[in-house]
Amino acid sequence: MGRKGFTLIELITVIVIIGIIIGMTAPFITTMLDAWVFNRTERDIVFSGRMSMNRMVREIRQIRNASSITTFTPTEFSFLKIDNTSITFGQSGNRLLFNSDELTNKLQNPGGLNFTYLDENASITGLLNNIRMVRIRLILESGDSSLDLESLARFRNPG
Amino acid sequence: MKKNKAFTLAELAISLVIISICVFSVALMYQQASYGSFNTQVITVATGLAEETMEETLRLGYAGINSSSPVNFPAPFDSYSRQVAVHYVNPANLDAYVDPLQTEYKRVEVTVLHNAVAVATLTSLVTNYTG
Repeated sequence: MGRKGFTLIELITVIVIIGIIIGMTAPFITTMLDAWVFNRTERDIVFSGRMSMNRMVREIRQIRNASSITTFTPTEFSFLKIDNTSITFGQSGNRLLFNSDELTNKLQNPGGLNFTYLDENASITGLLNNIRMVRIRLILESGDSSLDLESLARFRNPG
Repeated sequence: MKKNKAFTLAELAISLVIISICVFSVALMYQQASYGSFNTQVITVATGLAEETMEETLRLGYAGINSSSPVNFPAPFDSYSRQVAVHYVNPANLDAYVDPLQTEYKRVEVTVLHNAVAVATLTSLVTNYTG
Protein backbone atom coordinates (compact mmCIF):
# COMPACT_ATOMS: atom_id res chain seq x y z
CA MET A 1 0.00 0.00 0.00
CA GLY A 2 1.50 3.35 -1.07
CA ARG A 3 1.49 5.50 2.12
CA LYS A 4 4.50 7.56 1.36
CA GLY A 5 5.88 10.50 3.41
CA PHE A 6 8.71 12.94 2.52
CA THR A 7 12.14 11.55 1.81
CA LEU A 8 15.07 13.22 3.52
CA ILE A 9 16.17 14.70 0.18
CA GLU A 10 12.73 16.31 -0.33
CA LEU A 11 12.78 17.80 3.17
CA ILE A 12 16.24 19.28 2.66
CA THR A 13 15.18 20.72 -0.70
CA VAL A 14 12.14 22.38 0.89
CA ILE A 15 14.26 23.83 3.70
CA VAL A 16 16.68 25.23 1.13
CA ILE A 17 13.81 26.74 -0.85
CA ILE A 18 12.38 28.32 2.31
CA GLY A 19 15.83 29.74 3.06
CA ILE A 20 16.07 31.27 -0.41
CA ILE A 21 12.58 32.79 -0.19
CA ILE A 22 13.31 34.28 3.24
CA GLY A 23 16.57 35.68 1.90
CA MET A 24 14.70 37.30 -0.97
CA THR A 25 11.86 38.76 1.13
CA ALA A 26 13.97 39.84 4.15
CA PRO A 27 14.63 43.37 2.79
CA PHE A 28 10.91 43.92 2.31
CA ILE A 29 10.10 42.62 5.78
CA THR A 30 12.76 44.89 7.29
CA THR A 31 11.26 47.86 5.45
CA MET A 32 7.84 46.86 6.71
CA LEU A 33 9.01 46.74 10.33
CA ASP A 34 10.79 50.10 9.99
CA ALA A 35 7.65 51.61 8.48
CA TRP A 36 5.54 50.18 11.29
CA VAL A 37 7.78 51.67 14.01
CA PHE A 38 7.92 54.98 12.13
CA ASN A 39 4.13 55.06 11.76
CA ARG A 40 3.60 54.44 15.44
CA THR A 41 6.04 57.07 16.75
CA GLU A 42 4.85 59.55 14.14
CA ARG A 43 1.22 59.03 15.16
CA ASP A 44 2.16 59.45 18.83
CA ILE A 45 4.00 62.75 18.42
CA VAL A 46 1.43 64.20 16.01
CA PHE A 47 -1.34 63.34 18.48
CA SER A 48 0.51 64.77 21.53
CA GLY A 49 1.66 67.84 19.59
CA ARG A 50 -1.80 68.70 18.32
CA MET A 51 -3.45 68.05 21.68
CA SER A 52 -0.86 70.10 23.62
CA MET A 53 -0.97 73.03 21.20
CA ASN A 54 -4.79 73.12 21.16
CA ARG A 55 -4.91 73.03 24.93
CA MET A 56 -2.42 75.89 25.36
CA VAL A 57 -4.07 78.10 22.73
CA ARG A 58 -7.51 77.58 24.27
CA GLU A 59 -6.34 78.42 27.80
CA ILE A 60 -4.30 81.46 26.76
CA ARG A 61 -7.24 82.93 24.84
CA GLN A 62 -9.09 83.17 28.15
CA ILE A 63 -6.73 85.75 29.67
CA ARG A 64 -8.63 88.90 30.63
CA ASN A 65 -5.78 91.33 29.98
CA ALA A 66 -2.03 91.80 30.30
CA SER A 67 -2.26 92.47 34.04
CA SER A 68 -3.51 88.90 34.55
CA ILE A 69 -0.05 87.65 33.53
CA THR A 70 2.21 86.65 36.41
CA THR A 71 5.26 85.10 34.67
CA PHE A 72 6.34 85.54 31.06
CA THR A 73 9.65 83.98 30.13
CA PRO A 74 10.57 82.09 26.94
CA THR A 75 10.07 78.77 28.74
CA GLU A 76 7.36 79.51 31.28
CA PHE A 77 4.07 81.36 31.13
CA SER A 78 1.73 81.90 34.11
CA PHE A 79 -1.51 83.82 34.17
CA LEU A 80 -5.04 84.06 35.57
CA LYS A 81 -7.90 83.04 33.32
CA ILE A 82 -11.12 85.05 33.08
CA ASP A 83 -12.58 82.91 35.91
CA ASN A 84 -9.46 83.68 38.06
CA THR A 85 -8.10 80.13 37.72
CA SER A 86 -4.31 80.18 37.87
CA ILE A 87 -2.57 78.49 34.95
CA THR A 88 1.13 77.77 34.40
CA PHE A 89 2.66 76.26 31.29
CA GLY A 90 6.29 75.18 31.49
CA GLN A 91 8.86 72.56 30.57
CA SER A 92 10.45 70.13 33.02
CA GLY A 93 12.91 67.77 31.36
CA ASN A 94 11.02 66.32 28.42
CA ARG A 95 7.63 66.99 30.02
CA LEU A 96 5.25 69.78 29.08
CA LEU A 97 3.44 70.82 32.24
CA PHE A 98 -0.03 72.38 32.53
CA ASN A 99 0.01 73.33 36.23
CA SER A 100 1.10 69.97 37.69
CA ASP A 101 -0.42 67.87 34.88
CA GLU A 102 1.62 66.49 32.04
CA LEU A 103 0.40 67.33 28.52
CA THR A 104 3.18 65.32 26.84
CA ASN A 105 6.51 63.73 27.74
CA LYS A 106 7.99 63.98 24.26
CA LEU A 107 9.37 67.54 24.33
CA GLN A 108 12.80 68.13 22.90
CA ASN A 109 15.05 68.60 25.93
CA PRO A 110 16.09 71.36 26.20
CA GLY A 111 14.32 73.83 23.95
CA GLY A 112 11.07 71.98 23.26
CA LEU A 113 8.87 74.86 24.42
CA ASN A 114 9.22 78.50 23.53
CA PHE A 115 6.92 81.47 24.11
CA THR A 116 7.25 84.78 22.29
CA TYR A 117 5.22 87.74 23.55
CA LEU A 118 3.76 90.14 21.01
CA ASP A 119 2.08 93.56 21.27
CA GLU A 120 -0.99 94.74 19.36
CA ASN A 121 1.10 95.33 16.22
CA ALA A 122 2.43 91.74 16.35
CA SER A 123 5.91 93.03 17.30
CA ILE A 124 7.93 91.30 20.01
CA THR A 125 7.60 93.09 23.33
CA GLY A 126 9.26 92.79 26.73
CA LEU A 127 6.73 95.01 28.47
CA LEU A 128 4.04 93.13 30.36
CA ASN A 129 1.35 95.77 29.79
CA ASN A 130 1.83 95.65 26.01
CA ILE A 131 1.36 91.90 25.61
CA ARG A 132 -1.69 91.07 23.48
CA MET A 133 -0.65 87.78 21.85
CA VAL A 134 1.55 84.80 22.64
CA ARG A 135 3.32 82.82 19.95
CA ILE A 136 3.88 79.19 20.97
CA ARG A 137 6.55 76.96 19.52
CA LEU A 138 6.57 73.25 20.36
CA ILE A 139 9.24 70.78 19.29
CA LEU A 140 8.48 67.14 20.01
CA GLU A 141 10.72 64.19 19.35
CA SER A 142 10.48 60.45 19.73
CA GLY A 143 12.77 57.88 18.18
CA ASP A 144 13.73 59.12 14.73
CA SER A 145 10.63 61.29 14.38
CA SER A 146 10.30 64.93 15.30
CA LEU A 147 7.56 67.50 14.98
CA ASP A 148 8.00 71.26 14.95
CA LEU A 149 4.76 73.18 15.59
CA GLU A 150 3.94 76.87 15.87
CA SER A 151 0.73 78.68 16.66
CA LEU A 152 -0.48 81.92 18.18
CA ALA A 153 -3.07 82.84 20.79
CA ARG A 154 -4.60 86.30 21.03
CA PHE A 155 -6.29 87.48 24.21
CA ARG A 156 -10.00 87.67 23.50
CA ASN A 157 -11.00 89.89 26.43
CA PRO A 158 -8.89 93.05 26.26
CA GLY A 159 -9.55 96.02 28.56
CA MET B 1 -9.44 1.68 1.17
CA LYS B 2 -8.97 5.50 1.11
CA LYS B 3 -5.76 6.66 -0.42
CA ASN B 4 -3.71 8.78 2.03
CA LYS B 5 -1.34 10.89 -0.02
CA ALA B 6 1.33 13.31 1.26
CA PHE B 7 2.08 16.71 -0.41
CA THR B 8 4.25 16.59 -3.46
CA LEU B 9 7.32 18.81 -3.66
CA ALA B 10 5.69 20.86 -6.41
CA GLU B 11 2.66 21.63 -4.22
CA LEU B 12 4.89 22.79 -1.37
CA ALA B 13 6.93 25.00 -3.69
CA ILE B 14 3.76 26.60 -5.09
CA SER B 15 2.42 27.33 -1.60
CA LEU B 16 5.72 28.92 -0.60
CA VAL B 17 5.63 31.18 -3.66
CA ILE B 18 2.06 32.24 -2.82
CA ILE B 19 3.05 33.02 0.78
CA SER B 20 5.99 35.12 -0.36
CA ILE B 21 3.74 37.11 -2.74
CA CYS B 22 1.40 37.84 0.20
CA VAL B 23 4.27 39.00 2.43
CA PHE B 24 5.59 41.21 -0.36
CA SER B 25 2.24 42.94 -0.92
CA VAL B 26 1.73 43.55 2.82
CA ALA B 27 5.21 45.09 2.99
CA LEU B 28 4.33 47.42 0.11
CA MET B 29 1.11 48.41 1.90
CA TYR B 30 3.08 49.43 4.97
CA GLN B 31 5.37 51.61 2.92
CA GLN B 32 2.34 53.39 1.45
CA ALA B 33 0.89 53.86 4.93
CA SER B 34 4.06 55.52 6.18
CA TYR B 35 3.82 58.14 3.42
CA GLY B 36 0.28 58.76 4.64
CA SER B 37 1.48 59.53 8.15
CA PHE B 38 4.02 62.00 6.78
CA ASN B 39 1.08 63.87 5.21
CA THR B 40 -0.63 63.92 8.61
CA GLN B 41 2.38 65.72 10.07
CA VAL B 42 2.37 68.32 7.27
CA ILE B 43 -1.36 68.95 7.79
CA THR B 44 -0.85 69.32 11.56
CA VAL B 45 1.95 71.87 11.14
CA ALA B 46 -0.03 73.75 8.47
CA THR B 47 -3.11 73.89 10.70
CA GLY B 48 -1.07 75.46 13.54
CA LEU B 49 0.34 78.03 11.14
CA ALA B 50 -3.12 78.73 9.69
CA GLU B 51 -4.49 79.39 13.20
CA GLU B 52 -1.58 81.73 13.83
CA THR B 53 -2.30 83.61 10.60
CA MET B 54 -6.01 83.82 11.43
CA GLU B 55 -5.29 85.24 14.90
CA GLU B 56 -2.93 87.85 13.45
CA THR B 57 -5.43 88.74 10.74
CA LEU B 58 -8.50 89.09 13.00
CA ARG B 59 -6.52 91.47 15.24
CA LEU B 60 -6.65 94.05 12.42
CA GLY B 61 -10.39 94.60 12.75
CA TYR B 62 -13.01 94.94 10.00
CA ALA B 63 -11.45 97.84 8.09
CA GLY B 64 -7.89 96.54 8.29
CA ILE B 65 -8.46 92.99 7.06
CA ASN B 66 -7.61 92.66 3.39
CA SER B 67 -6.54 90.00 0.92
CA SER B 68 -2.84 89.26 0.61
CA SER B 69 -0.70 87.39 -1.88
CA PRO B 70 1.23 84.30 -0.70
CA VAL B 71 3.98 85.03 1.86
CA ASN B 72 6.51 82.44 3.04
CA PHE B 73 6.78 81.73 6.75
CA PRO B 74 10.20 82.37 8.28
CA ALA B 75 12.54 79.40 8.88
CA PRO B 76 12.14 76.63 9.95
CA PHE B 77 8.69 76.78 8.35
CA ASP B 78 9.99 78.17 5.05
CA SER B 79 8.46 75.36 3.01
CA TYR B 80 5.08 76.73 4.10
CA SER B 81 3.41 79.90 2.84
CA ARG B 82 0.21 81.68 3.73
CA GLN B 83 -2.43 83.50 1.81
CA VAL B 84 -5.41 85.54 3.03
CA ALA B 85 -8.49 85.96 0.84
CA VAL B 86 -11.22 88.40 1.91
CA HIS B 87 -14.67 88.58 0.33
CA TYR B 88 -17.58 90.87 1.12
CA VAL B 89 -20.60 88.64 1.62
CA ASN B 90 -24.34 88.81 2.07
CA PRO B 91 -25.17 87.87 5.70
CA ALA B 92 -28.14 85.83 4.47
CA ASN B 93 -25.86 83.78 2.22
CA LEU B 94 -22.21 83.71 3.20
CA ASP B 95 -21.26 82.21 -0.16
CA ALA B 96 -22.68 85.13 -2.13
CA TYR B 97 -20.11 87.81 -2.88
CA VAL B 98 -21.56 91.32 -2.94
CA ASP B 99 -20.42 94.88 -3.48
CA PRO B 100 -18.39 96.25 -0.49
CA LEU B 101 -20.85 99.12 -0.07
CA GLN B 102 -23.83 96.79 0.33
CA THR B 103 -22.65 94.81 3.34
CA GLU B 104 -20.98 94.94 6.73
CA TYR B 105 -19.75 91.34 6.56
CA LYS B 106 -16.37 90.07 5.44
CA ARG B 107 -15.51 86.42 4.99
CA VAL B 108 -11.85 85.74 5.76
CA GLU B 109 -10.17 82.65 4.33
CA VAL B 110 -6.66 81.73 5.44
CA THR B 111 -4.89 79.11 3.32
CA VAL B 112 -1.55 77.57 4.22
CA LEU B 113 0.38 75.96 1.39
CA HIS B 114 3.20 73.44 1.64
CA ASN B 115 5.50 73.51 -1.40
CA ALA B 116 2.76 75.44 -3.24
CA VAL B 117 0.06 72.84 -2.47
CA ALA B 118 -2.82 74.03 -0.25
CA VAL B 119 -3.00 71.78 2.83
CA ALA B 120 -5.02 73.75 5.40
CA THR B 121 -7.78 76.32 5.01
CA LEU B 122 -9.55 78.18 7.84
CA THR B 123 -12.55 80.44 7.37
CA SER B 124 -13.95 83.12 9.67
CA LEU B 125 -16.48 85.92 9.52
CA VAL B 126 -15.87 89.54 10.56
CA THR B 127 -18.55 92.18 10.93
CA ASN B 128 -18.44 95.95 11.21
CA TYR B 129 -20.58 96.02 14.32
CA THR B 130 -19.61 99.06 16.39
CA GLY B 131 -22.26 99.00 19.10
